[in-house]
Amino acid sequence: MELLQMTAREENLNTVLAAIRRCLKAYGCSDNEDVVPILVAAEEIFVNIVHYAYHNNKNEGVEVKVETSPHLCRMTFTDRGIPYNPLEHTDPDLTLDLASRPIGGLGILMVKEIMDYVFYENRDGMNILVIEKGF
Amino acid sequence: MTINETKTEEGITLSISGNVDTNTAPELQGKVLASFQKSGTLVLDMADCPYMSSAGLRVLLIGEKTAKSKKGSMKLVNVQPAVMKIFQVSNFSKILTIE
Repeated sequence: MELLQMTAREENLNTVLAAIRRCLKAYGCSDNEDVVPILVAAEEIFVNIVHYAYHNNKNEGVEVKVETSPHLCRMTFTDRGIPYNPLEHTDPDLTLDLASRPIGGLGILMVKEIMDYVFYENRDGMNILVIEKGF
Repeated sequence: MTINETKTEEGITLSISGNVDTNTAPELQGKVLASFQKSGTLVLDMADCPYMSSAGLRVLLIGEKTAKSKKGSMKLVNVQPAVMKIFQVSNFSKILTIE
């Protein structure tokens, strides 16, 4: 298990992704085809918090907990920013052709497509998002 | 991430080396748009690109739309399996030209 407490800044993304890689590798998950989708989902959540939770205030905090067990990776993202449930986000239509596709808005849908389990709650003024995937 | 530009008879090839994520995607976007200023035909060589998040997909969508508006083309070659998985999850495998 790794617990990261850091400021909500884009430059901390690599620290988050490296911790997830380490936790997955500890349980024998190092094949890029398994690791990359999990990292992509984590990036979407972390960057969303950085961009939107605190109106880009880079001094606020975010906590990322990475737990792995044989064949399962669970990541918990906690912030004290604006209450936001990403599961209520309207999904973009992935069947649209090129001309009609909006630029952006894909991130949360990709998290839902990639991960096996996504859970959100707002508790004691904190956004808590849990995502899990088997490997 | 580093991007190496090569001029070919067909147009321009950008060889991407490293991860395309939130922090590096803006540089790729700049290179893609600059390439379309010089040529209507762009090839992205992804042989050394092991990771792409939605920030990278956004750049590819902008590139594809730019290519169409200029009646040019954008083609991806040597896409690694892990990145192909991201294209499939997002359905980008249907709208991009991938060889």
